[in-house]
Amino acid sequence: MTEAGPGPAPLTWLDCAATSHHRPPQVAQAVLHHLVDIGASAGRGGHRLAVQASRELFQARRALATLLGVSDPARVILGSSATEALNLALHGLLRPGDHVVSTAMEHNAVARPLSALRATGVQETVVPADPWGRIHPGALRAALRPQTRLVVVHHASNVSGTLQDLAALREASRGHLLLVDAAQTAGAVPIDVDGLGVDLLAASGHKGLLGPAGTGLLVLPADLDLPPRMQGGTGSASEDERQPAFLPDRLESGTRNGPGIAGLLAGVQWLLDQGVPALRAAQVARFQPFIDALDAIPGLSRVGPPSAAERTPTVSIQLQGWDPSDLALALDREHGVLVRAGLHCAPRAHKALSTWPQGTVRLSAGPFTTVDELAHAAQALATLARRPPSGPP
Amino acid sequence: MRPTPPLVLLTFASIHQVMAAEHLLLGEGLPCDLVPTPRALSHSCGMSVTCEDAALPTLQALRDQGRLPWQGAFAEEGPAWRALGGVTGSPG
Repeated sequence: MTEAGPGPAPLTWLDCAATSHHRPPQVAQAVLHHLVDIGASAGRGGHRLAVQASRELFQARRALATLLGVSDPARVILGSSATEALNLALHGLLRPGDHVVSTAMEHNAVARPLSALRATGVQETVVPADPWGRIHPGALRAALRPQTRLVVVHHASNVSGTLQDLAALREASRGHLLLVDAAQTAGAVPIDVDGLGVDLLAASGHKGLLGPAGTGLLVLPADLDLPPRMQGGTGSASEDERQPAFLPDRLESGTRNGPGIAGLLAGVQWLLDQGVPALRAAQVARFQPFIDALDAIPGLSRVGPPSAAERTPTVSIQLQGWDPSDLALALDREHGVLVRAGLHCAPRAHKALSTWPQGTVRLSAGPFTTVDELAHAAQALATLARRPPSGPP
Repeated sequence: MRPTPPLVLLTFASIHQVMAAEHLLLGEGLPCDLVPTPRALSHSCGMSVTCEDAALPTLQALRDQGRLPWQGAFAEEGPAWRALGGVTGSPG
């Protein structure tokens, strides 16, 4: 637990599904090193500092490729967020008349671009989820049509934490392009893009990958003709006014976020050193007693599977008699537990989980969340469950 | 490890390829350096890789394996660079 700013109460950060508050110290050090000691733009110039910045960008791409099982680092496109990556893929691939298959558990980072594309004539079929938020391969297979251009699925729900069986969904959608939204799993759950046969994968850099905000990535096949969302300087083929055809330059116009990518590299390097499978196993072991403790609280209802092995360390709850916003406020003000209340930018998922329109309180852990912090949060909820809400402070 | 003259200079399509080449060559124990691409060689990304010319057979072998996709290869000749016509793929 970290010390609160003005008060003596320790803070318990359980909002890792939004961003990683706790990061390895190397991340901040790398950002500072980039800003103070490098301060140059990758690919812009041949002096020693520009070369250092270029090396950092290359190393980040390479580290991400290693972590995610991508054979060629040039297929890792670095941008500002998972949302940007998903928009790049969805708007680049889908044209009027195309058919896309998505799911009932998608985040607005997928649902909103698809809404905009539906207005242009793209047809969407939404695969329903079961009560725990799982997408069944048979249901996905039934949604496919011969003209299906793309299948887009999330790897884990940002609301319920439900982990999808990516291998089974890949198998069910064989023969169609598969785009995976891994915003909630990259760095937190082992992923082997090439081994699974995933075509495209989007992820944010500031969640499980432990980098700073303003970083994200899209993995794509080398032979996929994905049109760029914008054109501009790439540091290559400068004599030609046409956008380069080769990766990663084709999809990376404009100066990259050097300080952010330096931090992202440090975060990913830490993950590689620790090993994602080992971190995941430890996370499951820490999170199962927390789920069990929540399930023992009278009046508390929880969505998603009961097994920590079938979910990310994210859980959504409702407490009888409490509005989620009031509950989140009481957790913060009275117990120093920082969570997120509401719809979590995923109204589709809340409808599928029957928590629409009131939403839930979401508690989400990360690799630095301790057993004591989880026990403290469970105890806080048990305490609040014993009394009615007091209303606004 | 900075290479000693006489040098060969390799040009690439992108900075990413230049960085990948440096990583590969250092991993193979071959001294190399990154320099701005001479303006007389207008193609490429603005950065090039230089190596000792004695390494040319190894460089060619790496290219044949698909691991060093240079656009052009040039030999240092006084103040200028001469395209290595006998090397596959040069100039780009």
